[in-house]
Amino acid sequence: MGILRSIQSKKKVFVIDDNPMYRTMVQNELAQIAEVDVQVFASAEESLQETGCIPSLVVLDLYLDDGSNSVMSGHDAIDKFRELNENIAVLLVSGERNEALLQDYKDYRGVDFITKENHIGEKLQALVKDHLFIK
Amino acid sequence: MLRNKKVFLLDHDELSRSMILKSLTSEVNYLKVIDDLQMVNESGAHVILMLDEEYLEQDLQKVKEQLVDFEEALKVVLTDDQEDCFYEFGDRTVIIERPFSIHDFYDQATKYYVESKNPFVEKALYDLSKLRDMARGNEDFILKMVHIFCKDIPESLEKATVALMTHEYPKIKAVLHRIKPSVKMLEIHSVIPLLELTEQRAASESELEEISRGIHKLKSDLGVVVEQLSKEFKINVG
Repeated sequence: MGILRSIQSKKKVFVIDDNPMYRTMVQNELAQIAEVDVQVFASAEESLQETGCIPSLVVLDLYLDDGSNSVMSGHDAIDKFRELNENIAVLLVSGERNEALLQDYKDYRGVDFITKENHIGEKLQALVKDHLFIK
Repeated sequence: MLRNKKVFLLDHDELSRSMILKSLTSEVNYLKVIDDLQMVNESGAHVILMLDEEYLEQDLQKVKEQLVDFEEALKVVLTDDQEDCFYEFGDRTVIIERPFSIHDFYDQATKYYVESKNPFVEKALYDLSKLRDMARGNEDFILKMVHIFCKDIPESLEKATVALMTHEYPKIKAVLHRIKPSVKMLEIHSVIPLLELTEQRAASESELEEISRGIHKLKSDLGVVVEQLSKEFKINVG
């Protein structure tokens, strides 16, 4: 019963990234936080089919493009998650350096950003904790 | 063995060809007699071309067309008389006089691979330091990541090759963009500039021939990385 309560009390985090190494790395980093339960997905579509639960936070790759227009972009995924629950926090992971574009996302969609690089461990953990347990 | 080097043999003389094949087959990891010029997708950086001197007088244009970065290949010219041999293949050419031994071949072939003084050892193209930092001592995590790399990279570059054939440049751009973090994570520095350049070219759909050459070279160079990782971690990439 104690274990069940512990699982139920954990905050659900979805990690969506089409690069399997990167999403495994993010999963490994977030696994260091005891109070979160992480689920990883290769696409936004796949994560939205997970109807059993609504995440508290989505760590989302901004560019989920496969060049064919048949895959949901990170941009559209934000809207879909917000339709499910407008309070879902979104943390965009991107190599995007266009400050104006990033500011637009912040202003319009209220998302936070982290630059896609290898040494994001501590920063990522701090941002996730901030969104889940402080804000 | 000359690890990761592929030896292609162009010799008109059947007897000579069979003797070379016999002496080298058990010693090098891959030996192919070129008769149909099936060398597409091979990068010259990983190829040793053994040519008999007759080939010097023939049009080697087809070989050049089939081999990406022909200039980077080491050319080993086989001659009956070194004094009379005339060759014009630039710096990366050596001459071996027949009959030659396997030791002669090793001596000449390894002469140009200065990074590796011992022909049995070749410098790894990757650096796992960053990955080890991320792993914090978790060896299972490192193995998992290497497994993912060895599976995902060849599959992704195959998708890029298919997209190249159908001229779907946005798909090529998307594939290259997607694999970039993996290449950076394993610090494969020799590949990153070409990867980024080819991605930019695919995004702007410019210099189409260079996109093709870029993908072939990436496929070849990252193929070597997969091969090296597979050996280090004893992974069967099948």
